[in-house]
Amino acid sequence: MSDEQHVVESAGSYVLGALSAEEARVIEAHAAACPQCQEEIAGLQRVVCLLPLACSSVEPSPGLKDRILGATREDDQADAILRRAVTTRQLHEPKHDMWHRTLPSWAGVAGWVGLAAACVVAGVFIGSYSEHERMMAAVRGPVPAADVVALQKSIGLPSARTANEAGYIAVSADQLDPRVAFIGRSQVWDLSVSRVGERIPCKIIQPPNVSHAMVVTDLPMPSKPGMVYQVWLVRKGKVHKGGVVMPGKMTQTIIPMKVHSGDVIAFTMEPPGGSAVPSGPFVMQQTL
Amino acid sequence: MSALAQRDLGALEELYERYSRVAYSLAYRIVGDRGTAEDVVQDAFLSVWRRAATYHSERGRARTWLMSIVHHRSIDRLRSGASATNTIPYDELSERGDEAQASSIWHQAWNRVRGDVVRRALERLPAEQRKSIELAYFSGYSQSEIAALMGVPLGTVKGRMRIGLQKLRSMLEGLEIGASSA
Repeated sequence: MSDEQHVVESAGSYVLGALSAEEARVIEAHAAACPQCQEEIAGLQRVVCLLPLACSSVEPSPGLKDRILGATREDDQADAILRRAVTTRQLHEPKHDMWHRTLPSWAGVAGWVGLAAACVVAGVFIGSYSEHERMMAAVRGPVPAADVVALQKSIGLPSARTANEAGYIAVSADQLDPRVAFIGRSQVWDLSVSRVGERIPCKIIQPPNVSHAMVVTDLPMPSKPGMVYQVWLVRKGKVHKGGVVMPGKMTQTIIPMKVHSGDVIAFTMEPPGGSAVPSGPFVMQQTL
Repeated sequence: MSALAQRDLGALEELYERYSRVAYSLAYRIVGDRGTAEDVVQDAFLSVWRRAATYHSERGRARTWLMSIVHHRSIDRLRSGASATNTIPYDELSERGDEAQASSIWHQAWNRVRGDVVRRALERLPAEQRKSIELAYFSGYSQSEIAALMGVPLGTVKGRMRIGLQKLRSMLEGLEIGASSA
């Protein structure tokens, strides 16, 4: 089967979002150099963009517009703070040093299914000494697979809709393995973003009684070779430095302070090792 | 879009007036929960606000871009299992009052007309083609999952989706249904 046949055959699946990220990349790579397939895809996309009109018309609540406009103002304010931080280089230094640690390769393979265990292991490295000791006691041995699946459900981690879904276990965090329960009681913000055929997962996890937050993500390679991504937190007009995110693999890093709703999380592109103040372009910015 | 790129809140308000209802209806259809659907719509409009400066018109119209974001965010929510609670039936939801602006009413009426045409076109498709399209677009299933659900080979599903969309295109093109002032 030629590439072109494959693209044409899968064009419908592609425009409907029914392909995996890898399958979609194959389509995009071929279409980029094939005007005929570009035209086919564009024609089907014009149809797909009409499908929302087929939904029964439902009215959002009257307050939604004000919420959105209010959020844009907050967003602009955070943006201005971040840009000022870049230009004036006046940074509020965090108390803790920057940490980062790449997950073992199995976590990348297992994806989010392995996140729970990975986060617990990560927790060992990011806490203060007492937190380190406390968590060390709960980190030996493999995490039961059933607990990982249950955790995945309890904190809403993303998953492909596979047989695993049928295996979700309805249990409270307290019934899980202590290591998993620790993460299960965490507050989790999902900052994942999507584009056609690709999903960039990003979770901010604030475990209970821990003075740091974890960032678990799988960012694409930076557009500038040799650069890395770095996370920043903006709160009350100040920018706080976070860890470096190694691109191209499922990675966790930290924000060296407790995070809560209303904080703004931003990522910049920085030189290897990260920077003391944000210097590169902002690639993502979201409010918790 | 140029006004949005210059951080003109009025432009965002206009975009909201025109497309919030369609965007919300799509999100609600996919996630089945009113609160989650509003979160999705808020995320989508904020995303447009943040990225308007980097928007390229060759990607399509602003509406297409907005709906693409709403669709992807909704499917993400659906897959993460963050919704499917507190569903409110359509007929219990309040209708918009008289406060809507004239331009907004015009767009809503136009969208309603277009919606009727698109629904009728979908209904005219063979059931297996319509079901394949709906499972993929509104329920977030992958082509492999649809093949398993319908008990047919993967190639059959690919063909149903592509041919179904081609038929829709031929039915809707003659009606200039894609025309929009945005």
